[in-house]
Amino acid sequence: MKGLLPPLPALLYLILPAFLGGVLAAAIDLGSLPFVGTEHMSAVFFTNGQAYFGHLDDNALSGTVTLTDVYYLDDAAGKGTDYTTNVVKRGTVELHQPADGMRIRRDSVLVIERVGLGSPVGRAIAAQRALDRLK
Amino acid sequence: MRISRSLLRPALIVVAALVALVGLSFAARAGAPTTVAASGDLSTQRSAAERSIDKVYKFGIEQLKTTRGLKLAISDAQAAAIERSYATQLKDLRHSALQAIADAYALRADLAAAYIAHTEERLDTSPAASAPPVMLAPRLYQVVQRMADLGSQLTDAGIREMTKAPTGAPSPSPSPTGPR
Repeated sequence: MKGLLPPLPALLYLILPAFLGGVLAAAIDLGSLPFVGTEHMSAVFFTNGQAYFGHLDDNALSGTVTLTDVYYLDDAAGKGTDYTTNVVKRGTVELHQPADGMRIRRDSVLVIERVGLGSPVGRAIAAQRALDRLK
Repeated sequence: MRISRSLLRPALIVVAALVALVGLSFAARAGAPTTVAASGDLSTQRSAAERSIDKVYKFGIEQLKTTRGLKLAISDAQAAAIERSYATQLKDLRHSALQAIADAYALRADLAAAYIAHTEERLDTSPAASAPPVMLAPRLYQVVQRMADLGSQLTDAGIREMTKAPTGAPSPSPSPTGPR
């Protein structure tokens, strides 16, 4: 071990890992850990008023944020639905069929919020997944 | 070039750490928790979709009836025939929409036929029960959206046919002051 590590003051071997641990802990949502947590779905509101929902990958070192499993709201006025808007899965109606999520420039994002899993949007997405499993 | 053992070991440790990180990230993505609706929620979704489809159907029927009640240029018998024809088409459209819902729920052919017959009878006989609002799953919304688009096209066509001038009606004579 002695040969592996660069010569540093002994105290730094404690401070550096503690600092890195603190940074990582701040970035991790314990409620969303794989295999044990609950789903963490985000709503990303753009500066131009558009909103998209999905799983957000927000890497602080990147100039973009990535949204996967993406849904957005469509105007449903006059279509007989209970709400005047409805969620649509991105990739099902667009002509270019986007398949691998969206990379969004950070400077075009106005607000990022967590989607409540019991909200109308959250429930509609959960129902879509259940229907997908019936196929 | 000969790599010394003292350099090789740290390099191997770094590579192993990177491989472990990549593996962890794949495992985390594969094991990311996702929420899937329970069967009760799927029933609520189906009822909401049926309600929306029926709303479009009944709106079309009502529009045709209202138009027929107007003073039309065609005879009442002709208007009644047009109304009947378009009402039948709207009913067929509702049948197709219910079939699409049965497909979305992966019902077998016999179950789908029974479901459609039962639902049509229920929608025709009992008024729509009030229920808390539901946002539809995208798949069901597509069905409702298609029903609304085609339903409004059919209704418009029926209204146009009822309100057009009867065949054999005199056409306006050319204007003598028109451009030559």
